[in-house]
Amino acid sequence: MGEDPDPRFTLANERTFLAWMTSAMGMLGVGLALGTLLPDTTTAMRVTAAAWIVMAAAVATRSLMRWFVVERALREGHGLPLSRSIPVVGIAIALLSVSSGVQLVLT
Amino acid sequence: MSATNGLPADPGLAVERTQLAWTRIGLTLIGAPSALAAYASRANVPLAAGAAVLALVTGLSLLVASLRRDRVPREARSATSSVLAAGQVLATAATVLLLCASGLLLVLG
Repeated sequence: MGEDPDPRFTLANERTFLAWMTSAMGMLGVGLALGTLLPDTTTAMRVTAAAWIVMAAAVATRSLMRWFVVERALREGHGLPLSRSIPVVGIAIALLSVSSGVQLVLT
Repeated sequence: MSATNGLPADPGLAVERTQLAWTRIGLTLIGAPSALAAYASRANVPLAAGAAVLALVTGLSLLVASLRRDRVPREARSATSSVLAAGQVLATAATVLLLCASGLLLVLG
């Protein structure tokens, strides 16, 4: 499909995807830690832990789609589409972090 | 977008950086599923353990594939590397999603 892109750009696309995957693994780790390692886990804490894991899955899915979209744009010579993931993920992490912190302090 | 000033683009050290990034994620996707599978089997959540073992298998195959990809001859890289890259990308995403499924089963089960 299209022309072979500049290898620097396609390699950068791969590294960006891997960076998102690393972030997803971190969110998964936080969710697992909250949901399984704490003694006397409340229902609210389990829900928060599940929310972290769901966000990890969403980030992984979104970054997979993004890789294909960017690869196609590179091959067809289009401009790269703007990523809306960054502000959304940032806000979600902030909200979940506050929620997790409040619950940890209160239990 | 394949050349600058008519000269072939030199990826320089980008190939090595990318290879290292794949190796890092490959090692992570072996360690994390192993730990998760061990914890899930001790917690007696067989579905979670099964999903983690499946993730371990895909993580292992991903690491092997990334090591083999480095051996593709330089002149063949542009033709085959995008196919290999797409395969690695899909395998990575599948592994992470399997781990997320396993984690959800552990947390909510």
